[in-house]
Amino acid sequence: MDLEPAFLPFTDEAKRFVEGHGHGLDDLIGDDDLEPVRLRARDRLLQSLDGRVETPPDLGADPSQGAVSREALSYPLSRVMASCLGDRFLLKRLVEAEAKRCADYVEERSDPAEQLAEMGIRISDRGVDAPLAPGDVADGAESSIIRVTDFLGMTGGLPGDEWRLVNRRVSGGYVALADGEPLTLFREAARMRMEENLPLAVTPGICEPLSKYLGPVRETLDETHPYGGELRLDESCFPPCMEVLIEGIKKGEGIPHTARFAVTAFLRTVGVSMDEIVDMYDTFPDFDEEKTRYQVEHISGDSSGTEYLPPGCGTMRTYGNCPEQLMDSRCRADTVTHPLSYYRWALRESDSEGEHPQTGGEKPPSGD
Amino acid sequence: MDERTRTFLQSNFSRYYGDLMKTSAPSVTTDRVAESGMPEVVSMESREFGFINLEKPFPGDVVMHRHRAYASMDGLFDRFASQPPAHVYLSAARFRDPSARRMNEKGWTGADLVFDLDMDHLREAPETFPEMLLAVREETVKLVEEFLLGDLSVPVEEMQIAFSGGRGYHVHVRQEGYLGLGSRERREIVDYVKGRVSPDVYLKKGRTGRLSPEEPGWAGRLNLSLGRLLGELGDAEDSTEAVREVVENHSDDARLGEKRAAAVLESVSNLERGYFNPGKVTEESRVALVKEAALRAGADIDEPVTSDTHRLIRLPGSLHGGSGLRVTPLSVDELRDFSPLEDAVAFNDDPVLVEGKEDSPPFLRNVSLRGEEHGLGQGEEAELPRHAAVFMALRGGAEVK
Repeated sequence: MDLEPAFLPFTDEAKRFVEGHGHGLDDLIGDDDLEPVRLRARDRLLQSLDGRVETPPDLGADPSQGAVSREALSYPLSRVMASCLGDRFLLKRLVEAEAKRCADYVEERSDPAEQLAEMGIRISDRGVDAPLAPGDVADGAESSIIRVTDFLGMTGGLPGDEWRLVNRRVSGGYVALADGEPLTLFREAARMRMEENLPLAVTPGICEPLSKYLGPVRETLDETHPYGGELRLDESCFPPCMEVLIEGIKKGEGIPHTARFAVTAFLRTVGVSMDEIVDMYDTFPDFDEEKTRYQVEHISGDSSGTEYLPPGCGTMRTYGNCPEQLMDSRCRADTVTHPLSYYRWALRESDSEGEHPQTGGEKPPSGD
Repeated sequence: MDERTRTFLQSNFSRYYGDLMKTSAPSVTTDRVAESGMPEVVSMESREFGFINLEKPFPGDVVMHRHRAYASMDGLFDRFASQPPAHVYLSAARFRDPSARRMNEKGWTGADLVFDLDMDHLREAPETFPEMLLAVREETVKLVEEFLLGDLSVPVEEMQIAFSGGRGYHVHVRQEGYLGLGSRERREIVDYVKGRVSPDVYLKKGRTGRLSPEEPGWAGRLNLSLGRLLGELGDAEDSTEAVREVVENHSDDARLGEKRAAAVLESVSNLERGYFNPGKVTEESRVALVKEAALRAGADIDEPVTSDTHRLIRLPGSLHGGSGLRVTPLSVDELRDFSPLEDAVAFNDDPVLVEGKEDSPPFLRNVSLRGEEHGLGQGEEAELPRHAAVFMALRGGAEVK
């Protein structure tokens, strides 16, 4: 029994396997016989929010055809369900948890290099294609190498200085990989592959019949992620870069265009109203309300149709908009690569402080 | 700029592009490119071109005519013939529809990896203009030899080097794997080339932290650079002060006394074995020295140009409308001893009568081209070789009589 359609559901092989069943989306949503597929799809989401997609017991040793089919069919349906909820946090957790499960499977029963090759990424045995320098060969710790460009394409989401190209052994256009790293790269490649096309384009006609499965996911999502995708506005949680730039704008200092863009996109994303943002710019000597409003609307996606996210820390740094001397411990954390990730973290911390009544503010806890 | 001067410039630019059309050699060997005409543009049909014309309001508030596209070099030469441009740019990006007016309609399919080295962006720039020209050339040689041909092993035929016609150099990399990279990935290449290492990774005890000179990539390069740095600091008149200055530049560690500075300098003997562990010196000091060594060994490129996947870059083989110098395509060998103020001169020495403008800035009263100094005082009339007359007129120092 080929288990890959069940355990590596993003591959072309799994796709063909699913298509071979001849069940369209209508069947997956409405066919009574496919209730187990729908329940499993729902569980994939619930388990993702918990951090890992579990393997059902009947997929253990010597699984039945039915169990493999159910597992394979539930993957595309779970993506449809997640798209119905449309929550970025959920989508992110889903692909992360699914990728982790794929990697666990590959570690146990397959070979990461082989799986990457099927995705068009070649990892070579060292010395075959491009030997590294002599010191490296003598060392013997690395088992494989990968093209610099492939490496860059797969490691952007990996935190930690040791994944940055400038800290790697690079030679002949290749990067040396230590034991265990091909598996991490496979997980990343799988995650990126599964992230493609998400959220899927869904319609009420698809989502409404699924609402009884979506309910519990929505509930769990609200518990795990209290903002339900929306961010609460709390200026005291703004990252230092935004504080400094906003301060500068309010004082009417010369702030470069790239910084104005970053501030505007940031404020829109965290929920500041258009009017408030336009008002903020009236300190500029060349303030033109009409023009400013148009620009703010454009960045917010109200007129352009594209909602711009504020730039990440890397871009902020590139354009000199990151006040590096004011960086705090949150800024320096590996997980913070974006002013918004800083903000979310600060919000979470301020929430957990808020649970203590003595710091909770004016409103006494209701209900006893 | 008066009309006579404008007409003079237009006819000279026109003649330059007209001659190019006649002599342009589509296939040139990769080692002798400087003298060839205009190199064929790689994937011509998918590039966007931009022009700034020599007509009014040039050189004032100029307008960039963008979103132009040409199926072949002939189409581009026709444009030059009908309207000689002051500046010509092409997109680093390749598009399905390069002439579409909005970015999202163009259909981005990839972009060359472009490096810009400019004397205005050097970390430690020398004072005089000729020295700066040399310094920026050395940075370019370092980028090409150490990083592109070296660590990244980009095939020489997938790379194009050009003098920018102004104050620096451009390098275009067109190897397949790089074309699809996004800004984030390109920024990692910037960090690599500039030497923004994480010192902790290289100073960590054990295998991966070993700074052996034999190591590939940055480990080996850091070893050599640290060796040079320590040597230089040791040779300084006041070595303690020199070491302290470097450390204070990169950290808050101001406790470095004579003994510790001496320990730093002595640690050079351990470097050969791959260790940088001067005794009794704080972690902060070691980190500071590694940072300095890395920045020195890196190539000083202008960061935003490389990370931008939508830049327009000067077309190699065209003229720079601020100097009249040629945006000169160069092989690696030619780059090593390229001298812009001689080798990028595009016009002949026929005498042209000019008058120094009343408001000409001091730096324009003396210009050195093709090894000759040309002086032109305010209000002074003189005959200058054509190339110097073009240069002065474009820079706003002279009008043609």
